[in-house]
Amino acid sequence: MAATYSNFFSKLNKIKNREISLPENVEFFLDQINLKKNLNAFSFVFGEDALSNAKKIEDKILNNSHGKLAGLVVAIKDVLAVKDKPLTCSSNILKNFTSVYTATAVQKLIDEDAIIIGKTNCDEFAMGSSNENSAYGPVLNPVDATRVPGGSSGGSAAAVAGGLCDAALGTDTGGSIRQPAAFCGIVGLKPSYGRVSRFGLTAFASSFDSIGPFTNNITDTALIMEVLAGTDRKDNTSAPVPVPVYSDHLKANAPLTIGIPKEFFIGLNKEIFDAIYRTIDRLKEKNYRVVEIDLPNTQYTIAVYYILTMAEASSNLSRYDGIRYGERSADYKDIDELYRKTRSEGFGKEVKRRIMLGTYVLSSGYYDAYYNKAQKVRRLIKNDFSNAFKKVDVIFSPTTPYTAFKLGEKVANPLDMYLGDIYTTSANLAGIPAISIPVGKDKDGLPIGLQIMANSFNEEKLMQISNLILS
Amino acid sequence: MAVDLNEVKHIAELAKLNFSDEEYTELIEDMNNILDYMNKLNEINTDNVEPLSHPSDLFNENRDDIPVKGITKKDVFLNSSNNDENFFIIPKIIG
Repeated sequence: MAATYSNFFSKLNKIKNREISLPENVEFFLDQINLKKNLNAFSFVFGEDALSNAKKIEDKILNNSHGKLAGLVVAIKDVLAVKDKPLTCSSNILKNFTSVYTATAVQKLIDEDAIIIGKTNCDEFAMGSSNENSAYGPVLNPVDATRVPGGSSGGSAAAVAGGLCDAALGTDTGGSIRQPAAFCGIVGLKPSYGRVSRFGLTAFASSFDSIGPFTNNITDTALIMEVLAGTDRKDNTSAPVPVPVYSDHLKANAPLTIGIPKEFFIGLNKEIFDAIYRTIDRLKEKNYRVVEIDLPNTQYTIAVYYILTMAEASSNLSRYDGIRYGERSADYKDIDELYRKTRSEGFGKEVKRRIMLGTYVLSSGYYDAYYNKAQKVRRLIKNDFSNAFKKVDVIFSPTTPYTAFKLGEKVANPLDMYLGDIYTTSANLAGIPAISIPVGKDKDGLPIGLQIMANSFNEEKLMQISNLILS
Repeated sequence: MAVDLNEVKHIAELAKLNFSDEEYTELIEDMNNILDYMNKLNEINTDNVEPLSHPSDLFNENRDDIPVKGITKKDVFLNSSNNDENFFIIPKIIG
């Protein structure tokens, strides 16, 4: 039985009318996961739990006593804690780690009767843009299995795009939801910093990390965000800002003003450029105002982003010492050797590279030249966006400078890989929300993503305009 | 500001990581390429700009001190590879 519904509400109605059996729907997804094992999207599948929950939740639906996401089958990126389940961050250093509590974001889904079907593969500790830095091996793109799905939430994106679940949670520190959404042709939202609690998310760069959904449509994005968003006593950076009923904001009211930052389009791949401008032209016909804006410090975003996230990562990852949790090296003569062997054996190449660079930019003598300097430029970049949002409601840009690339194509040159994050990192530097939606395909049939950014806590504007574009 | 082998070895000591000679060679090249790119920031004038350490506007968010149940002692030791259920066991560090 294939998934024959257009969004969550359609699924729920079909379950209510007994046109869909929820246990059969879950079995269908489990079969698909098995059939498409080559994608390597899942690191852990919770088949038995998912089936037993499907039966219970179907009863609740039929008794009309169900939660808001009843029966939505969701995959969780394996950097988020789910009690009594493995949490590996795709790293050998956590290969036998079991979570002793559940992340707030995941708990909120469970409380509303979503079904957690498994945990998805990702780049190790969410560090990567291709999902090739995983102890479980690379994830393949369901659109073209010779290509990467993007990263770091590549497994979550491939799971949704490959029809292995209804939706998935990912995390986005510099584009790790939006870039794989673009490469796989689905919707990926990075909420504002502080919109979703980070409790239970393994820290990579704490002043950047955000949790958000991958979906096939904006209706599901809105509904999931209504559940995920909000303050949490377990995360003091989760903002006490009221959560709108996003689903009520999907109908376009007055046309919005769209800002086009010329810096984001210089030298852009022509097929991506054309796909975005076709979308803009359609909106102009609907009386949306389009104005050119300046984001003059765009050229510095990659340098600032990597200095600051590597610094935060080197500090956050110092907790993996082999003492309290995680793998410990088998053979050591003293505490220093225990630390060094444990960490050297447990971390992969990219993670070590970032810890080294992060330690360097924080070290005495270089702190001011790199770390402090980058923090100052971060403020200038944030100011650029604040100024832009005085004039426009939303900002349009490409999500990525190119469509999904071939596996192995960029692994030899880390700087080249980093430069691919040019359009996505600024939203994390400024803490603003951004979405990637599919707006066409290139000549090879590979999806093209449009990125839309809004001011902090204006997610509803992203959903409203995305819904108009996709409908 | 190119990094050399001595400096990279010092950073590895601080970061508690080991590398082979070949890994050091590759790491020095990668680090210098990346740091060279990051030196771009020297182009921009940041006099009188305050560093931004966090995108959030929140400041000292306090909450009521209400005790809630946390994880158990068993949970604390669940993921440790060497413990006696009361202490984590490590090599002797005081002579």
